[in-house]
Amino acid sequence: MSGARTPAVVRPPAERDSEITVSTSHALPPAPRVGLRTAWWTAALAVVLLLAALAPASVISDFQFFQLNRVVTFAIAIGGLNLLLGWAGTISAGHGALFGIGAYTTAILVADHGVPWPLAVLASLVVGLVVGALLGLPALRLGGMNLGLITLAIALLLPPLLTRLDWLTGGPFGKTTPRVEAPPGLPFSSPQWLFLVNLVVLAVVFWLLSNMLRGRMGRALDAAASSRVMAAAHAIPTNRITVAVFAVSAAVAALGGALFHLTTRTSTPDSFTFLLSISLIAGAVVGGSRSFVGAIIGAAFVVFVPESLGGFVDPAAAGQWQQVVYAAALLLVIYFFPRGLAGLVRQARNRLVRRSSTNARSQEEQS
Amino acid sequence: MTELWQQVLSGLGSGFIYASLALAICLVFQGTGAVNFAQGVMATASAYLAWSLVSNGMNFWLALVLVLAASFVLGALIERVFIRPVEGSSPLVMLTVTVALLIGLQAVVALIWGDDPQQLQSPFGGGSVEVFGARLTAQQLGAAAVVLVTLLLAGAFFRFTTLGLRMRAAAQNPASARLLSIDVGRMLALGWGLAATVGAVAGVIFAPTLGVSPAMMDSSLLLALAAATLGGFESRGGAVVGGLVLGVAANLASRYIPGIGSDLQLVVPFAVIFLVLLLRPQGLFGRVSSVRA
Repeated sequence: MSGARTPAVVRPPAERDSEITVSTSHALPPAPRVGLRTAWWTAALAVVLLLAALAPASVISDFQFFQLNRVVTFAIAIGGLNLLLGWAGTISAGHGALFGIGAYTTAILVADHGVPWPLAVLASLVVGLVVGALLGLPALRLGGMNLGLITLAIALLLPPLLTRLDWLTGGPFGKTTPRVEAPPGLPFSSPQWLFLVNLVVLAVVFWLLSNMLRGRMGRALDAAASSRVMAAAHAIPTNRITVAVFAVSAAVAALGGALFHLTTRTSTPDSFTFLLSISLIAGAVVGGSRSFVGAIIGAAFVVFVPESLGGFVDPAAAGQWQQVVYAAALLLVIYFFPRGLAGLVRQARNRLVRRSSTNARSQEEQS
Repeated sequence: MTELWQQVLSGLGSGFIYASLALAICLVFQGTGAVNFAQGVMATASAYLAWSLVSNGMNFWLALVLVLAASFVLGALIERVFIRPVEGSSPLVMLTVTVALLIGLQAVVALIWGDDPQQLQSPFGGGSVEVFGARLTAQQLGAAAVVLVTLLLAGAFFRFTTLGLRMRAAAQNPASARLLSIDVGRMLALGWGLAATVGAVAGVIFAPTLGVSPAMMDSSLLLALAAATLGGFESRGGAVVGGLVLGVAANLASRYIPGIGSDLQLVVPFAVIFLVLLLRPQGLFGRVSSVRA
């Protein structure tokens, strides 16, 4: 890398491909390696889609598709949360609520206003963007952890608000919408069709996000996360990118929520409690908050771990054991695998690659 | 007017819970730089411990003393075991650890003692006292007095004792403190222990009004976090004042502002924080620190 030794110099922002190089005293984390090899991933996605589309009900049941849909929609939301945890260096304790806002927006539009579901999902995205920007604005003054406190407020206020505003939200019984059917002529069951839709949305969203993070935005975020003052001194509009990234993150979470509602068909206030926000954080940390593959791993953790507990413990205490497992997983990952399970996978892969070819030195390995 | 006075006084009463939890949160924050989300549930565990002792026939005050000692040890132990491995990490990592502690400890409490709320008898009896025309129960008055004494003791400890001074030094500038042969690690553990003790006082003494349940401290924790933000995380006195102010504000709002019932009472502290932070981002009593890159 040229100029790696130059002390604290940033080329003018006008240069498109300028790399931010800084003196070693504020060494930035390595450039985000979100650059998935697009062709490879498109192929993988196509294969999964094809398999899912062709799978007869005897191989993957509708219930399994339902579970997979939960994984995919949670993964989308966790991907949004990763923007904050992994890149912006802040936390949101309220992404469960934003997820819920997305779900309710779609539910209300479809159930009460007869809006077709794709439009309703888009509306959820927009509502999430607006709410996220509104939440992000005070963050300009608060900065860092205080934002976490504000988001905590919406996580706790949403369920009672949803119950209270029954003329809009249906109160404690929530809203139920009809099943989403595949277009006539296609031989898919409803959960199967939704799975195909969700997976495509996930792929598009993650592709867009990773492009965003690979570019100047990602570097600016990294700079701001490592030192706001330094970033500001280097003409990075730290305030503006904080609000922007919060809004995008919220929009993605709301999008996940909207798709989640299509899967479950019923949204009630107690689907979106503080525990959901915590689950999303747990998923992000366990999977690895600087990785979109990690988001999927984390979502699988959030969906399947509580369920597999069901067989071992007293069902009355299942919720508590779920919390214990979340807590233990969070602590273990933080202590032993700070880059999450995705980091672990990457490390293992790198080791394999290195063993097979002595020349292949990967950069991630060093950090 | 009497009605208003009554509301202010009972607001102050619950304000003391928030004040002591907020003080505990500040102690931890100053020492380890972690916003301790588990502070509330640690107090809950203390309350359950006291309930177990009292319901087995122990005297309330003896139980309180034992529980305070146990809480101190537990707090210091939590620092040693769970916080030490990530000492000096980013606030984000710290926060995640304390959130993990929150959900884990809360579940453990529920697994040990069950979900059903328990009742702890008030040590002050069921009487009530008239204060300038407002009625306060003996429990309200007594609990406030105990917490007030605790807060004063904590203040005096930091102001007048060598150990308190050492702890302040370790919190303010660990590197220099180390050069002065202060065992910073031990000071941090002591800080956590002390915070757990202050929280435990609130948990146990207010248990008769709050009811003993795994979620008893949930809303108090939020108000305490709000109070600490309000007062500035660096200011111990500020956190206490913030707690009292929020207690009164929340009580008055849920009584006089239509549409805010007890379920939406939480709106108040956050609205107050919003306002204060827009005007004074460092909190009411915090200092603006200039930063060097």
